[in-house]
Amino acid sequence: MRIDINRGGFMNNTCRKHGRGCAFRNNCDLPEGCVYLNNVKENTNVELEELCNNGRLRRKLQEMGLTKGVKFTVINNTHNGPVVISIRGSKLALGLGMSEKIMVKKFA
Amino acid sequence: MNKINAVLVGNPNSGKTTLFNRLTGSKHHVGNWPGVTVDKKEGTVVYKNNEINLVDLPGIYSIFPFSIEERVSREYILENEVDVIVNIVNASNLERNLYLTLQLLELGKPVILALNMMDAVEKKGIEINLRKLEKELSITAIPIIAVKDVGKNELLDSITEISKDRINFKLDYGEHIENLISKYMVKHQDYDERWIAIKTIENDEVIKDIIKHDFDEDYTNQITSKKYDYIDELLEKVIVYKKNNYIGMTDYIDKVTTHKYFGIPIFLMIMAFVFFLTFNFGGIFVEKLDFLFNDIFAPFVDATLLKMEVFPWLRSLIVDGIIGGVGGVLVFVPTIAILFVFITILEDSGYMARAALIMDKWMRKIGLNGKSFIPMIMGFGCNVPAIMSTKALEDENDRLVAILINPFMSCGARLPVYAFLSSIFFKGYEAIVTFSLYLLGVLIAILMAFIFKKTLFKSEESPFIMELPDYNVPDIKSVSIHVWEKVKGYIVNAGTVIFLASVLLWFALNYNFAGPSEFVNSFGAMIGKSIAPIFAPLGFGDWRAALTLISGAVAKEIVVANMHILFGTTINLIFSPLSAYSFMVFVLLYVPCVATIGTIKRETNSWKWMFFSIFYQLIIAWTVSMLIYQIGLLIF
Repeated sequence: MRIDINRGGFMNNTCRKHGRGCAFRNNCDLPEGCVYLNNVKENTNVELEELCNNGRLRRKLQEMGLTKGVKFTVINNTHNGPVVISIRGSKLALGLGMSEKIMVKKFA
Repeated sequence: MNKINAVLVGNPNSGKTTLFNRLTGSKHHVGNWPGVTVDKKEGTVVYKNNEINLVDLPGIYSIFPFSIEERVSREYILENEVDVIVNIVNASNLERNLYLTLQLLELGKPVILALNMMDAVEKKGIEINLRKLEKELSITAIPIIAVKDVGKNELLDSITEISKDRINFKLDYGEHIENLISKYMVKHQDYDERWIAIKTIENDEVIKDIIKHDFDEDYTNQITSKKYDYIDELLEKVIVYKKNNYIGMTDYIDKVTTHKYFGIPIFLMIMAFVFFLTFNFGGIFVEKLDFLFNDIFAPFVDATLLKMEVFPWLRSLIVDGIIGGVGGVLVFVPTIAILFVFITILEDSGYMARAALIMDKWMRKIGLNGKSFIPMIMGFGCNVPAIMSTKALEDENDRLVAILINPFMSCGARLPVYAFLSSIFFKGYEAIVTFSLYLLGVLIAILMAFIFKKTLFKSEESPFIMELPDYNVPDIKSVSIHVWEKVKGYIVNAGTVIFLASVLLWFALNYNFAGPSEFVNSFGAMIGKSIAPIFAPLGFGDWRAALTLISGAVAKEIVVANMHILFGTTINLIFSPLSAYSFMVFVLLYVPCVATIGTIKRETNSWKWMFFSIFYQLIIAWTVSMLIYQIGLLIF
């Protein structure tokens, strides 16, 4: 049976960290050197490792330029909520519900 | 004459509306898309024996329909006879903007690229090789500066000259995906076969309406990535950065406006500034106009009619009914115009997105997100466009809550009521009294949102994703067109609805079943007296106050018109300062005008929510006014 991660068909395997919405099901452990975007400090350059967002939101993020491997900078993360990133020449604000599911890798 | 159907497509903040206004001038009309209340702007440009019908689509990032606006845009492009798509892009931010361009090109329809904000490009030290860009994308690219009318004629030239040939741009997605594309290509009379194939493997629902397909994989990620990769490669070829590390004004301003601690105080200061300027500056004009209407125009007409020996009843109808009522509303045109100027500037400058950002934390506490804050601010202008703007919210539950609380945001039409009453009962403190009413409205809205999210619309946290555009100085012409549209609506309303209401009220007050009658025995008095007891605990159990409130449900400014007709100079006998305040609170909170009710019906697409919104607001208005009056009685 095929698992369509973009449309969320499986109900049994629920991610412990992100709940049913997570694309990784029960296997959402952070790889070495990775953090979630909401934990990244200001003025840090990061590289997108994986989106754990699901469904239409996942697609929306991709279409706004958050594709795998894209490099971007966190420019404001002081509002206890939306993280402002500078990506592909523009600034995006991403709410907490989204940023805590965006897995990134720091780079110098 | 040669007729051309052109459609304007672009990202939000790409200067699309400015270009549209500049091209069509005031010769355009705003309607709604069938079924939804997204603004549909259409205008005609006559150019060199061509009649160009230009449609302005809502700003979109992608033609994948995430919001209603994107759905409308996509349907329009796909289903209508579009001769040419004018894709306006912010040339200083090609990386994001070209994504939509690539999607448009894949539709196989003729596309012209209008590179806007070329002045910002120069400022940022970017050099764009236009020839190369045109060649790579195989389209025509016209550099323009919409606000300065630069490149307007060149753009119109290329719209009229564009060949009806199909575009032959083709992005190579790599062997695996290309194989799939050729496998799923289907000939179709209306749609490009390659586009159908790409949409099929992206598993896009739009394709289900066009052809039957069964494809259970999803290559969105690969296709999206490939588009961005292509853009990166393309820009490397066509763009030269002459200045390194350019830091624009936007970054400096953002350091302050989105500061952890200063952000919110700055926002409050801006709002207070807007508010006091509207009130004090507008007040000067209101006084002058009021003097003109009531002390010069009305006596003059009265005297003239007296000389002409017209029937006394007709004289009374014209002077007391029409001039009193309509004039009472018209004097507030300057205040409303100033308010709309500020709201439009806040929107166009790019600040509104920052306000949404800094308020997100607080909005989340009541279960909404920062984006829901923008319709609330717009509600200070008019609830109708504010409720329409809730379409930008992705979550349906959030949208319903945002719609239901919006009428508590005190709109421009309610301002005349506060201005009129507070100038009589709170002379010298008008601004503070009025500000307190606005604040009360906001507090009630927040409280209700909190209750709704806890009871009726429980949902998980809603997604918040928003672009923060570069700040820009709003285009005076665009702002004035926008403000004029609103003010015109207000004046037309005064000339039609309020005119009619004033005439009706005049008859209701001067007649009963037996014919002409005294005020106190008239129809109006009968109606007013029958419901007045309901308002007794609120401090205004007078039948005249009750009658104004009934007619005020049509439009809030009617309340002022009616007060002029009903009370004349006796207003001090009917209201005390406390009951006047309680009355203003009731006007603030009770049913919005018919236009807003109609918008709620259309936006929620449900009679249930419409009636719900009317009744819950009546209950809240009554309760809050009652509390204020009764507690006030104890204190004073």
